Amino acid sequence: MQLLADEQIKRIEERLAEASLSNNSLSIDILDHLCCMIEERMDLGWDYLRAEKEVFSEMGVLQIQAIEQETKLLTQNKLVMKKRTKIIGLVALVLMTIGFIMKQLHVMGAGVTWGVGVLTAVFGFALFLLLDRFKYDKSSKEKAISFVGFLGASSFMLGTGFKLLRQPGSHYMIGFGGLILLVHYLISNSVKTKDGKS
Amino acid sequence: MYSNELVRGTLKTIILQLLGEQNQMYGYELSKLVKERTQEKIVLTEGALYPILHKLEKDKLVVTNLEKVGNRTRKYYALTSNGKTSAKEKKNELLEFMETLKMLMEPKPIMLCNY
Repeated sequence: MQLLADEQIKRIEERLAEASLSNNSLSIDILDHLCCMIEERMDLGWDYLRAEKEVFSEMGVLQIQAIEQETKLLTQNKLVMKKRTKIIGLVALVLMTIGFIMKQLHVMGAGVTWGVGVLTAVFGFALFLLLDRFKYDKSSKEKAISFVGFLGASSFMLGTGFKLLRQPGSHYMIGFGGLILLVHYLISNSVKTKDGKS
Repeated sequence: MYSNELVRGTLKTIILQLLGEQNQMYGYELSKLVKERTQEKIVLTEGALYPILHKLEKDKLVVTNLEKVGNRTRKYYALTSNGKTSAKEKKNELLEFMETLKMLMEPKPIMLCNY
């Protein structure tokens, strides 16, 4: 198999830079993969430019970014969330902020805006976050822990939302949510410690 | 070509198995080998391959080794001792699963006794 020249590799590196990968280790993999794909086509008699065009149409910037995103989701133990979840979370946050400001200014519709924001946060953001976690939680134990977290966070958020609207029972929900979140924290910590020891 | 749904659950096993056969392999080599051996019935896309390889590295089932190839760097993946054990376990599990599926999909006719 013929190897690409310096200039050609530089061209590919420049095009790869458009994907703005933050994972350097993955960049090495992708660069080599792209080079191999081009070299294979050149071995079949294609000229470099045609091969490069074909390869980048097969594996464009968006696909490369998706690979990095998927790698992050698989390798990070941290809170994982997809773009969709982030957008819903942002919408909820904006609605809640606007609702809160409106409430302070005694503007009509403040309660509705705040309420919709809280409901979006609970049944949109938190629920999708749970689904994202479920995709990457392997065992039923991990899934159960994520579910407990969702339950606690939902209850806490709903309670806070109700509190601002001066609804009865809100403090019970906040208390219940807080307690569940504490249980969730303790369980996940003990699981992490056990995993670390084994 | 098989559907992604069918292939997804077996990718880790396939990668571990192939790495177990060779001393070390790089990503493109792995995808090409899978394509050739399965007569393109299983295609290991980049979008599936690299996230799994990085996950295996994080789980310490594979180690990487950087080598200069021409004017670029190539990353080779090789199994660790844990990776070798995991490859064997996963292979056995998959073979057993295939047998079970066969039992399910092609049941043997039940012998009825006439008294």
